[in-house]
Amino acid sequence: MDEELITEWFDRYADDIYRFLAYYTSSPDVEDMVQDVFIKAINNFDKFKGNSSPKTWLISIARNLAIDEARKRKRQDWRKLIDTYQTENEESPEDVYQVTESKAQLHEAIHELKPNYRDVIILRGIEELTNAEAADILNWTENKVRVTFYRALKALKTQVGRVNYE
Amino acid sequence: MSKHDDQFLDELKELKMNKSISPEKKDEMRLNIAKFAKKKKAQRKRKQQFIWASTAAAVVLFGVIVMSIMNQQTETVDDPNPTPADEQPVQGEDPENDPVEDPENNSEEQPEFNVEVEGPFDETIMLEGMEEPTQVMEFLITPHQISYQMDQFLGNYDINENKITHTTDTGFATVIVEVINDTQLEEFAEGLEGDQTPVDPNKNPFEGIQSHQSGEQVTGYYAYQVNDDVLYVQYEYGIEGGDGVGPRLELFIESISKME
Repeated sequence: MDEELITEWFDRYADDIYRFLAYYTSSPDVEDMVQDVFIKAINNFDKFKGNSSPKTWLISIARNLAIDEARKRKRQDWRKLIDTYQTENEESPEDVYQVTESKAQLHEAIHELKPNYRDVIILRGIEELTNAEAADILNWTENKVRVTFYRALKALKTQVGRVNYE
Repeated sequence: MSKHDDQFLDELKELKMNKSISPEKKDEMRLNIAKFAKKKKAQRKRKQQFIWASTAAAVVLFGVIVMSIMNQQTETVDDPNPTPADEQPVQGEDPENDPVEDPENNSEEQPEFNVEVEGPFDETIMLEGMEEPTQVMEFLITPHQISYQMDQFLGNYDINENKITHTTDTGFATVIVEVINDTQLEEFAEGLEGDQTPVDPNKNPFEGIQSHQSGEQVTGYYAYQVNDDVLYVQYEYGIEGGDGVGPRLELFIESISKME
């Protein structure tokens, strides 16, 4: 793989990969993993088929890395991730606190979901990828993405309710 | 989707953060990645050169061996009184070139069939038009990396060789999931009975065939091509009281996927 091509991909998609890994691992400290994604892409470039976009291919590599990483270490403190969100639109410190707390609860609930649901919520709900893009990354049909996203939203709503009451 | 669902989706979208990698860190990473790509390219070039060189060496060696065999044969024909040693086959003199291969060394070992089971997880199925909460177990067949969900209704399972047999408590319904290694679906399907139709491509990502027979006992099968292997699913249940099996079978079929 040419260094020009991989650096072009890096410039274009590094931040997308960074954000995906941050949601997936619940930690903002994922720069090293982003680099690993591109190293893996160089090593496995012969497996890249032009019929999927480089972005979805790189995200699928990132997802596999994140799964391996999650096996190795316990989950990070997701509140650290929540602190990285911009909150300049809120008027008072109380508002900021409330919004941060509610995001933290939602984030915790997402990570309580089973892996399939978590994947589809991050890709479709947060990253706002299309059904086709999510299907490409997860190696599912678009219909399965649609159905699982519907079920995942339902499960997440129940989970958020449960977290709120605990 | 309801208004409440839309609000919930908006809440999810708000989790999208604006943070990105710092420019300094990005420069450092870009440099590392470019260096690695360059190194990899050089390695690949060296590897290709090595392959060319070894191929050329093998061709020359082969030529030398063929020439020496031809010379030996010519000498044997010319010799009117061959000694017992001359009667030995040429191949016997050079065991390295003996074309008879040890079948044990030649056979490719299949990775061991193993199943990881997780759960139970909550799921919802449609029973007679009504949503019905249920629980499922998640099965992952390694090393094929084929995963699927099975309703707790078929909660008993037995793993034997390349086969997982799921049954209800009473044995009223059975689903057998089997992986047939290194087999092409077309070839496999020829050995199966019943009218075969292509599977619905919207159910799961795999191409395959299915067959369904209704009688007092409902029987059928699905066979999918999963990479180089065939995933073969057989089911059987009694028509009486079997209303709940269909949707659960549907859930199972839709859940079949390949983990990367």
